[in-house]
Amino acid sequence: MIYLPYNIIVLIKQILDIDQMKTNPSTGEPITEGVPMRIENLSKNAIEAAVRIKEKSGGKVTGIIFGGEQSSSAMKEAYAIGVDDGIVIKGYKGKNPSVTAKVLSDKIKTLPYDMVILGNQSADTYTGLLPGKLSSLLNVPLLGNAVSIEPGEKEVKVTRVLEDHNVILKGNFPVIISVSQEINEPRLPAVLQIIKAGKREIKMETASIQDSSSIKVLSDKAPKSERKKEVYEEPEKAIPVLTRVIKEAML
Amino acid sequence: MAAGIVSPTLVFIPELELIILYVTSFSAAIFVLYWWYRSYSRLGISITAILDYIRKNWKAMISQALSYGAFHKKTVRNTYAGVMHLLIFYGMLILFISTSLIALSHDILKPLFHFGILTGTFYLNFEVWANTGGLMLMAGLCMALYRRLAKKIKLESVFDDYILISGLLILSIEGFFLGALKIALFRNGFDIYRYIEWYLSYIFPAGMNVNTAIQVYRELWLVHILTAFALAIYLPFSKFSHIVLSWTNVTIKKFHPRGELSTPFLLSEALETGNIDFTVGAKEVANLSTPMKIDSLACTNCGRCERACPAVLSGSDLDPRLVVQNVKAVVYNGKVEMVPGILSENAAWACTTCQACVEECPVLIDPHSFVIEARRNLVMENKISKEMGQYFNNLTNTQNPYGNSPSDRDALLKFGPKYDSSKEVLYWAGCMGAFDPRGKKIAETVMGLLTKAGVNFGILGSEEKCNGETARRMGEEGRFQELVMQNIDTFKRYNVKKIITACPHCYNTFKNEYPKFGFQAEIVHHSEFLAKLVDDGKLKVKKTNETVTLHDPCYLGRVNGEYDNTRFIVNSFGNLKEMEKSRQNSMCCGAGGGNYWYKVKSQDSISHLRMQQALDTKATKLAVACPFCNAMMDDASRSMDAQNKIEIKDVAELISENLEN
Repeated sequence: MIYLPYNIIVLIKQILDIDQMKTNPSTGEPITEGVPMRIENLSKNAIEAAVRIKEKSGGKVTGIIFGGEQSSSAMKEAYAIGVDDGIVIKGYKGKNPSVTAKVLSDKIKTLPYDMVILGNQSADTYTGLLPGKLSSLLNVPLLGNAVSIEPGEKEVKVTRVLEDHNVILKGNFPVIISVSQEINEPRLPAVLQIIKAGKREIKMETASIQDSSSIKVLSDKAPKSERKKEVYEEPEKAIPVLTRVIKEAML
Repeated sequence: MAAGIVSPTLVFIPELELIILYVTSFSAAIFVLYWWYRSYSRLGISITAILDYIRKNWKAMISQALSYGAFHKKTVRNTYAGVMHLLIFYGMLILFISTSLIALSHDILKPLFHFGILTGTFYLNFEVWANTGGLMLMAGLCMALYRRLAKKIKLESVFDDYILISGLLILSIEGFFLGALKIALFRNGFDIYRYIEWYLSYIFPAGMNVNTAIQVYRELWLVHILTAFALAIYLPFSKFSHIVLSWTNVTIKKFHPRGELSTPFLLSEALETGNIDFTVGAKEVANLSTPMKIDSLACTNCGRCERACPAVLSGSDLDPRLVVQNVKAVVYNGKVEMVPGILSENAAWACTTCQACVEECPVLIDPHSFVIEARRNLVMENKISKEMGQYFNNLTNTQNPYGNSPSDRDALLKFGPKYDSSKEVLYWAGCMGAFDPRGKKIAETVMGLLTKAGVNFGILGSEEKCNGETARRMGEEGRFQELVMQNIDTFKRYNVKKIITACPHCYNTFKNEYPKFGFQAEIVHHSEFLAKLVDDGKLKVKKTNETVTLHDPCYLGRVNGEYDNTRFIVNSFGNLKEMEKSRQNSMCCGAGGGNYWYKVKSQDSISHLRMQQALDTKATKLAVACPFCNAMMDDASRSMDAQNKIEIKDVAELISENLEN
């Protein structure tokens, strides 16, 4: 069986823009109110990887977001990058990767696919559990931490990056590939492209399972950092101080 | 004057040759006229459109044809080239009129009405003028030849240039010899009015054989006529075409504020109607607007833009002359891609939009608009670098280039009150004023001065958002217009009537670009506002002996024609020592058009070149009026180890330092 052109599913996560999040200086708790949402960076890498495969070898990219009503804006952006079809599953409550994996795998099972591409973790919780859980639920092999994807006619070659060396893996379709940020530089769609993409239909669905969370957040307070905050405006004054501090730290 | 003075025109020329002359000159004229029409009809402009345009704009056309064409308004800005061009232009014009008068007198009036006009005093005047015209032409051509062969300037010289210069030189030499030979044959006393040919005529021996001389005259005449027609036929295929195409361009040019870029679409309209099927930017030459194509046809390859362009001076890939020349070469074909066919990706990003090229062009071409169209397409094709992507992302997410939290802008409220409807004027600190440490200090200083002078002002704090200037110049029109809509909302909510900006770029965009989107207010840069406060005595400045040089920000100076307020401020306390490149010839600091936010490959850095020019003045202070210029010059002085030699200060800081308490 020849798999060209490919059916690719890309899993997209929408998170709070943590770069804009502040903590309450007295309680140390994060202030989430008014913080805008964005596509998680590794999801952008995943979308870019999927779209590049499609551009090179043809095929179709289906994006799935497990999120909420507001996730359609993220899907519009994904469309602008090159995703063909979008499904938003509402009902994401966060925090529990098992629920996320179940909801997503149930949806994936109803779709044709050769590759499922996703980021290997996300910047809000950093559990990194989703790719493995999906692999187990779908009974499909996981080629994780990919920095390059080279799909062939029957199998796909993936370069996985480890700390001091790379491993090249091959897998038969279908496969799950989780990507690391080194895989590519995601393109930035122009505003006009996002608006154009926004005219296309997004399938809105509701998750079958409601989150019966077995995970509790015990604390999400920012660690206290006692910073001295000395500001030097003249390099001549700053350099001796800096060299002294660095020397002290090295001792 | 004696009645016997008449011109012995065409006396030796047999009928057959005259018939050849009439036929060829008539067909050459038809050919050139047809080519002129075709030059524009091939761009898809119909004859009715041309006539309609003339009917509506004939007054402006006449005035532009005279000022930019006949009177060389911009050409003379470069003295040597200007004088050279004036000599050639007026030399040829006088000779053209002389020849036409001969044709009128000899070929029309004499055969039909049996009288000539080239008689008596008029004839003598005519000959003085004709000789002077020839002399001017030859002088101009010699200057041109010298400029190409011996003068050390950056100027592309190709075979075509030498054909034209030598062709015209030969033509004028032939003309002079024909006249001289005729004088030698007849030698009337009044021929001395042909003052060059008179003296030249003595090279022919007094006792020469008359028949041989006549034979020589006839042959030389034929050669002269053929040279002239060869040049006429050559016109459309050579640089000569600029006589027609450049003059046409300056005549029909529509002026708009220099600081306003074209608006390819209205985002608000597109969102309302849902109609978004338009192309933005130029992927191919064919996508360029018709006025831009007409612009490219007018380019004469004179290289003034290239000699003024900071991107060229720094050795980057960009060359505005080549951009326009490359477009011109394929303007009718149009299938050539702008990038990389016309300019490379690197070149497209190297433009600082300083508009030195626009200022320089003697025939009113806007070379930088081609770069903007190329960028717009690159953005639509997502061909942008990581830094540019980051820049756009930050604008979308945080409405400032740094990606800092928008609420951080509230920190400025320590130095100035929040704007409300009771305030007379809004001080717009800009992103540099809010986030750049140096910019913050300047904003603080300006607010201190405004408070001291009792100005009823306020600031918007976190309600201020980037005005989108740089995004627009980087080709991301959509993000620009998103920000425009958000800011105009705020302005309308507060009913803002007057804005003081910290940054010349904000100033330009509010002043020249926001009106198109429905916002108009009085916009002043802080240099203008503070200069007025000093002038009115509301801020008293004490005189020092400091020598200060001044860097003109492109978007105050060249783009908006404001040179005097910054100079007034500097002279109010110190002695201004101008840099070699100043006012409209000022050189960009290298930050404009987005270049502050990304790196483009080049040999030198523009800011270092400019810093060197400042150091050459031996001034101890460098006055700037733009936070980006400030940052660029500051960076240059650090890397050139010039911090001890020159201090970089905003004009507001200079006022503040020299206040009388």
